[in-house]
Amino acid sequence: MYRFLIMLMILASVVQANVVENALDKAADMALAESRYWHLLLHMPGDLSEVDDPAFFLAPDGRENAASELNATITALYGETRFDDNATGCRFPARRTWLQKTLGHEGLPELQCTAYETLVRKMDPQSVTLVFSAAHINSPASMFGHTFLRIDSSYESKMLSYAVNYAAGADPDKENGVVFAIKGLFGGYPGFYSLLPYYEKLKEYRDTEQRDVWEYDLDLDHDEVMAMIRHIWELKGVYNWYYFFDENCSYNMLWLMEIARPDVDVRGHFAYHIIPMETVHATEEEGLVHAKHYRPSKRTLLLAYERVLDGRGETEAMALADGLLNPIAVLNDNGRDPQMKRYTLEAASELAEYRLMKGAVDKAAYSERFHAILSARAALGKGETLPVTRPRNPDEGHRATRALAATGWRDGTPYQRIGIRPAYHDLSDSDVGFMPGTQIEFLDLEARYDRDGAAVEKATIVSITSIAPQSAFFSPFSWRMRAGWDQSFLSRDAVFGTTVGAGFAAGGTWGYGYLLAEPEIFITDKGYGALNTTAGVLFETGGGAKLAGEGGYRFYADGMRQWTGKVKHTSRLSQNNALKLSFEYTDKTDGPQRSFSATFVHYY
Amino acid sequence: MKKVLVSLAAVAALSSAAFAGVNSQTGCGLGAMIIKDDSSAIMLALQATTNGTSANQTFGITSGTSGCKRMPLVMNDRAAEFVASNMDQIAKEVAIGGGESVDTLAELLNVEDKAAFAASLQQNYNSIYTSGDVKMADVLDNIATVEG
Repeated sequence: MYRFLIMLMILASVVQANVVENALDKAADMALAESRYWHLLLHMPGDLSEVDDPAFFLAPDGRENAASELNATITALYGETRFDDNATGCRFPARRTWLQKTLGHEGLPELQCTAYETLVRKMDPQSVTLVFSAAHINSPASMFGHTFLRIDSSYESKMLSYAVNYAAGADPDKENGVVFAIKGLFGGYPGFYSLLPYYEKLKEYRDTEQRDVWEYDLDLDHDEVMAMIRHIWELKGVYNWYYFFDENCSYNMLWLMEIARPDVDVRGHFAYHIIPMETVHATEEEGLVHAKHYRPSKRTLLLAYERVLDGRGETEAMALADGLLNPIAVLNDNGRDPQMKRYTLEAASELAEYRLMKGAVDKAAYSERFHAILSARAALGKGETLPVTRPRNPDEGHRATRALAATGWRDGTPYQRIGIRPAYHDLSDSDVGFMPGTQIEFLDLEARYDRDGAAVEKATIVSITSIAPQSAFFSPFSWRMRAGWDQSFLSRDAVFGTTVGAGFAAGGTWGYGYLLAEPEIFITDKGYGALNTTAGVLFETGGGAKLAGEGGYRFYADGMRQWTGKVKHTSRLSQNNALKLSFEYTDKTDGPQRSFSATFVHYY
Repeated sequence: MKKVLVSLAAVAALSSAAFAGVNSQTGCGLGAMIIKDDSSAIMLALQATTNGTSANQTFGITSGTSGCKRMPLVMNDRAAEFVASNMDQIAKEVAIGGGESVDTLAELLNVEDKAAFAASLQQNYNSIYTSGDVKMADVLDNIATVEG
């Protein structure tokens, strides 16, 4: 009897060994190790996987050897020794499903993947949406925006969907800012995928950070969505080193889209740096987007309340939020239009929340006020819905890289310029799709050619501007920083200067004006400190066109003084082409310098 | 660009928010249900295990049970989780007379007529939000009572 059982076990293992052998042979015949899908499953764009966590690989050299990882995977899946959550197939459902489809399920054991099945039941995945959370005013870290995917269920409400996010496992509040930036740039943090209810992401981006949210529904069918889900499960708890410029949040979503639909090549749109909005453009170009939606941020809502409220309403809303006015007084004020009272109380509740988020009020006092305001608001019954102006969709904005060619006169002499800027947007570029008043530039390079030959006109390393107009409810700083070579110094060549300055701005639908004080350092043979005082104004002139003027008076430490001024008009010819006409005036040691130029700009 | 605050923090906040609101003495037994289901609040499916709950785990509360009056609503863990995490947003929308969160709650409670539901919640604001520090379980209980 025992002998029979032992014979049976040996036979079973021989059969199993044969099953594995057959699968391995078949995979070798089909050259599966070289197939695109296998490389997608391994996040392997070339010969090395971008996943850094050894736990993602079954073969010791799996990270750099797709064939040996495939053999290890086949051996494990076709020769499973455990059949529950601990099975390799439960850990790697995407690999298993793909192999089953390509090699056949002969010999592939049945599994009970309880944890995975529970997740799928709970998520109930039906469709996928790419979500772009736009720039957060005044925060350079967010100025490129952020993207993540949302897995939609059969629920009508999208709030019940789940967000698939990729983020570095670091807390910027606990790290030194410089260390944080350096580690972020060069892969010092592990990045993880995570899954959260969408309403949590909305609270984070739309409410706390006050960023407008744009949703792009993807045209993926249920099978494609399920392929993505299986792969997301495989990435559970697995880390990749996070790289700010390329292997970042947005980039890591692209693998998931290609896993869902392998014949799209969204990653192929990128060479060296990935800007979140660019992944939206790439996704649209691959034909994946079929519907778009907008969710205004808390800030956008409050600005909309400012537009419908009169001065008294604004004052009362602030007093209510600060606990200086009893909501009953507003409720019982018979002299007021009921709709104005509704808006006042609604704005007050939003403001009260805003104050709480800013830490300006403690939770207990807030709860009391918030409750009283809402109780009064409820008593006024249903009113009109707040009209919120929807900004132009970011996907209508210009692309990230800019090339330009210019011709003009400088002090009566003709000259030409060419330039390139890999990223991203400046105040003179059309604001269609961008938040007005924000500028973020990396490596803006321009060369000039005139009768004296070629020279560097400008070489910006980094330049960030945040012109944030003051309003009834908001009183932000405006600020600007820059480091690089340009023509603003007293001499007639490009000089390196760096500055961080701040001031205030005011604005409306017409545009905005600003005043800034900017301490500067110029690096010359002597070294120069200076203080620049600047006043600027920018008018939106319709159709994405704008007229910008800025004047400055600079006090140098050695007593020199300098006027600068410029006027620039930008016409938006199309989404990715623009024409800029400009006049610039700069005092130089040897007299004033005047330039006129016409610049053709192309974005791609 | 990247949001570096780890999602774990959000999850911790979410779960604590849910549990902070738990009161096992609530009339319809919702609180007890949530305590029993110890994973429902922790939705970080990729970093936490997901045992203990399933999507179709709903609790029908019919007439006369657990001290509730006739109750046409179907209470479930998903609704509790949602309310716990969106207390202020829901309060705002109830006061205004509707919105996406109120619609979501209506869907979770299998309410057909969302407009009537929103209007009724608005009319009964003071019975649902009885004080500034009302808890999630109370809000749901009160909604159940008001709609009952």
